Amino acid sequence: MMIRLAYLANYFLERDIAGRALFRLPDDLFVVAYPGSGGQWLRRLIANLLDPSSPVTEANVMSRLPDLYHASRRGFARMNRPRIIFSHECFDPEYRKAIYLVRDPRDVAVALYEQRRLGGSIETFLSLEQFVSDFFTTKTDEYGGGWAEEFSGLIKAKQGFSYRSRLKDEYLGTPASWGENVMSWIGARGRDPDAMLLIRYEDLLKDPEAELGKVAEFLNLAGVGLDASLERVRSTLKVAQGHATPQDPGKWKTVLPETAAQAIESVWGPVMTAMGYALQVREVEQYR
Amino acid sequence: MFGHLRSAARYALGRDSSLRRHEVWPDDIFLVSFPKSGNTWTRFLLGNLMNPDKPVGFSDIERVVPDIAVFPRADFRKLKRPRLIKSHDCFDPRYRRVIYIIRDPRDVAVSLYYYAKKVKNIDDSFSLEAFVTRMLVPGRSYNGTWGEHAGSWLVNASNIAEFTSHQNGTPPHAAGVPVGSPGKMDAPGARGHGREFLLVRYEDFLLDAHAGLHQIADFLGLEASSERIEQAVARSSADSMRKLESAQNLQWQTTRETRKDIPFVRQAKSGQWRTALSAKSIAEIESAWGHLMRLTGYELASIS
Repeated sequence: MMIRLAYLANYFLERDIAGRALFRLPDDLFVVAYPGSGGQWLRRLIANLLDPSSPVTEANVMSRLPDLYHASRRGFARMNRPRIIFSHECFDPEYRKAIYLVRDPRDVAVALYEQRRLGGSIETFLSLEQFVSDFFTTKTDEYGGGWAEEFSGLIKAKQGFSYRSRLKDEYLGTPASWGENVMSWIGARGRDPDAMLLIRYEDLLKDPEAELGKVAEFLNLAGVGLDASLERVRSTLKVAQGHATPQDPGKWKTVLPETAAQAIESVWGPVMTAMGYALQVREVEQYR
Repeated sequence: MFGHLRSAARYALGRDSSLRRHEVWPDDIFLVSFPKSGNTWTRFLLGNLMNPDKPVGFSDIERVVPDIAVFPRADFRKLKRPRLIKSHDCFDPRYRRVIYIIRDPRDVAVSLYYYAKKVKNIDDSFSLEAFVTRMLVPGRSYNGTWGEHAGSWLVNASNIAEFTSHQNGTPPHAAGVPVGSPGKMDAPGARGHGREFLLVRYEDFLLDAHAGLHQIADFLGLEASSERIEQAVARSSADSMRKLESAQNLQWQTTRETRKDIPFVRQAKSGQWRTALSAKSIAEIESAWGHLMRLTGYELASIS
């Protein structure tokens, strides 16, 4: 009873985490990436370009470019417009303009595995191969099997239970599987470059000036002043730290067992091809 | 302040609408479509099939096949399982069992235009041409555009190239060439990860409602005799739905506060776009969504 009352007070004060309940405004802009795709890096690069007066830090990134899973509804309601919001969600039609960051799923698998092991959300005895076969390629209900639990656990540990919504955890977010997340965005917006700017992590790493130039153009058209001069971009590249540090593409080639790479390619081979990722194994016959 | 209190109270009592707050159960069956694509008719058909004792009407359809955007969130818990739920949402990975109804977007445009007038979103002077141009713009509606809706549900590993080609410059297939056969629609995407997914074309349903309902009943594992299907089809005919609408339109939340001079159940036909839409509107729709129309078997009229 007390818990329900606390939840209710929370809801009334709008101190519950926004998650999927975020009230979207028509001029909102979104930066979307599947977990483990370098989204935190891109987020910090953009946040740094947003305010030339001071570099982005772990403290101010939440106010410059907050994510859906840590900020309260009230926090979002108080932001200056147009708001730029970070999200891991599948396609959402109310994200009128979105920058979607995609990364080679073989590298995403490695990055997620390492992140989750560090974060303690997967058992230490679970091998990378098992992670790929039992979770990465097969589980779509990330929200039920780790995602939301991880987040609500985090929220619980850091901010007390009252920050949680009394709603089911799945409501917090549903990134689903890599393939579902990517496909839902491409299926809905792949032919509409005005509504979705598709950026490949690998291109961003190779030529940040050009890719951030595209980001700046996209955001400028949407009314956000973003200075992406070469000088600014270069100084920006130094800001990423900690878990936002980019990893070299192709790490999977040295750490991912061949069977795991095959498993990923057999589920999402054509999606990878469409995104420009060369397959190691010949395209699986069943799709031809 | 009062509105704030009211929304908190509604939330506390679970009287708010479910939508993304909906607690999905793995056996929930979702009847999904873009608006004006035959969803209400399908609700009636299924409602009548599953409740043969008494014909379903607009006054009780909300209880028989509740709408995720209308039915109170807390009441969903009281329903008999498996729950059959109507939804206009774009791809939601939590939905495990989905019947997706698709309709020719050119007919959807015409139908949506009259509906927008009925619900007073636009007034009588608003032209159909301007309406079509507007419905192509993303971000205007909770349900997305027709192309976003169908694309998010129908994209999969074997057809994804059709959805990306534009950004690289040249579409791989010329207009008018069908690239989508049912076999092309089977790989992961909304049907992956053990989901059950049935794609139903409204036009096929119109041609043979009996066969269409039979297909859905099979999908749901319902035992349905031909007589029961026949009865459900008869009870859900356009004529009978029109009669029910005029008798019960005040008892249905969807129509209660709308204009009564424009009916909810309109023609219940296909191909109206041929006379209703201008060449400009047809070309606009086909250039935006031609890839999806080819994939789902709708022949393009304009060669771009």
